[in-house]
Amino acid sequence: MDMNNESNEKGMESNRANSGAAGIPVEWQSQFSAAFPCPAAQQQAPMMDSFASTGLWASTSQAMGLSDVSAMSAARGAGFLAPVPGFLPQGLGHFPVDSGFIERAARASCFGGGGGGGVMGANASFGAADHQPMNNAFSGSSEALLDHQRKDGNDKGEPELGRNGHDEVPSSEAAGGDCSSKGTSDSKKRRRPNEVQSSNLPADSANESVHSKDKGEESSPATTTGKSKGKGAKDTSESQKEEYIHVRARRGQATNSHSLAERLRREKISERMKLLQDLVPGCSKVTGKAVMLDEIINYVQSLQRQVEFLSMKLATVNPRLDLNIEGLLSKDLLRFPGVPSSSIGFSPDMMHPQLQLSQPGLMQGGAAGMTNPDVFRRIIQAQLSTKDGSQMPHALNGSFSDVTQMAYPSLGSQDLSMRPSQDGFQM
Amino acid sequence: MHPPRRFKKAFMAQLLVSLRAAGQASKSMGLRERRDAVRLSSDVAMALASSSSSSPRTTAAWARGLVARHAAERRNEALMRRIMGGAGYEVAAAAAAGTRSRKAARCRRIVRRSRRALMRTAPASGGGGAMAARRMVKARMRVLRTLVPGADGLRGFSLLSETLDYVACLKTQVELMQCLCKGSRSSRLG
Repeated sequence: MDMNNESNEKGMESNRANSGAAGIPVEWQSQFSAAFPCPAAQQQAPMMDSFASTGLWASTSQAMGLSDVSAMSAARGAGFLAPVPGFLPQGLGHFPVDSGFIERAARASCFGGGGGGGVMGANASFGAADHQPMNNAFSGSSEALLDHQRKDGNDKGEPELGRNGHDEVPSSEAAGGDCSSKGTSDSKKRRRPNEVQSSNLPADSANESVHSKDKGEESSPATTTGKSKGKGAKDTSESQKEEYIHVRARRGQATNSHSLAERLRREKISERMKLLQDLVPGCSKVTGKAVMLDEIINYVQSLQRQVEFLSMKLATVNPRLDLNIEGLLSKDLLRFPGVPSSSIGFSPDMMHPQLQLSQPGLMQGGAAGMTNPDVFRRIIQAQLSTKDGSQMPHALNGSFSDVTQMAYPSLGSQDLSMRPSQDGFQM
Repeated sequence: MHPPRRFKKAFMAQLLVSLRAAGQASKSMGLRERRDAVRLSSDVAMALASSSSSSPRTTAAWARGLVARHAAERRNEALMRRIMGGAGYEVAAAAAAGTRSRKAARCRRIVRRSRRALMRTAPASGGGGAMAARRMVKARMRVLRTLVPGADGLRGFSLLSETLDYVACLKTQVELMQCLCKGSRSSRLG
């Protein structure tokens, strides 16, 4: 971690040095704006594979018969599925008992995938009927379902783990963790100056991570017959299916729902890790959870330090924290490109009757007025003249629902440029 | 993927409001106090913007934790009341009080229990590497829990989700603050 600290300091110094020339902010902005449309597109392709295989596997487990095994092997393209037909009959006898649970699991796996990663485009590729209603509206219930399953998997997994002493399969971490640890610190050191380049990396990140994960899986030693629990990456699920099948033959019913829940959990976790990979710059080449978590930790720490530093800087720049709003607005125009002009037409009309709600008026003015500083200025002045005390009167009531929701329907037209799954990973 | 423009705008708007409230609230000339005020207002702005822009009813755990963390300090109370309104501050204070007692004890118990179970699995030499990797991952999750506010009682998947959300919002925060710096500096000089 020493290297990481040094690199953080180096990054901070470069930030200080460059921020005077506004070099870094431009890079951050370009990376910021460029990185976010891209990962959305590239996430869908690799995620579709994992979800297709998940859906197929889960549908197989719904006792649809051995015919689906061929479909699975087609999806996975792996030779080790040969032993599956031999072991399935033993397991199939237990399925009707858990059919309801497994059905839920199958459905929830797709929901978890859809709700979690915002992979709305992947819905079209699924053939099963379960995947149709994969909306964000279901994300709440799906998350509850998945958490429930995950808890069951955890609780039942731990005593078994204690009993048998078999271990998990984070093979990708063991194999990939060591070899790629060197690269990450370097990439992190280069992160600040080369953010524009790293923004192009997400394009390759998905493919690279898949390939490197496959390599890690091959090099890992075959694990024991342990039930695979938790933290393995997505690639290890294939080797784990081998043990999974062995385990199922030996232990019978007890592991079916567990392994399904385990796989669900692992899929979710790997999906989250992928999202994080796209979000954290320089994480594209990193495989394995441990190293990626390390990167994420460093990144969070550096961001927090940056916030602190920037707040200090803001405090020094304005001696009395009195910001010149007009001056700020003229500069802020650089950041909000392409707000459709039609919104400006109707939003000034809408804002006036809502000015008594201080926050929504400001929100709308902030949303629409960024290209029209006069409107924004009017809103701010009007709002601040009315009352300063109760800015968000209902904002933090209960679960933070507030009156701005009333204002937001009017902002619907401005969502043209935003992806429909922008709230995909909310809990 | 995450930060829609709406969130950025909401954040920016809220940030300006908060900063103005901070400027009016305290005429403290101390640099540190001003920096803390700026930090507080930006954090609160971030939490509020995220809570309002993401479909309401889904507050991020980190948002609550962040606000609670600030609310725990008494001297921030006046400014926070001003920014969030009295009702909001009460919620934050309640969250702060509840968090401290409940989650810490529960988390400690969980960690202790899991560690005992882990020790009981008798180091299998074949899986030694895997075990070490798992230990590393768990250690890092622990560090992550200390970093991300309000993520104390969260387990793997939800922890990653919160981290994801938090990282995106932190990036937005940094960007916005840099913009503010640039704007206010140039407006002062020019």
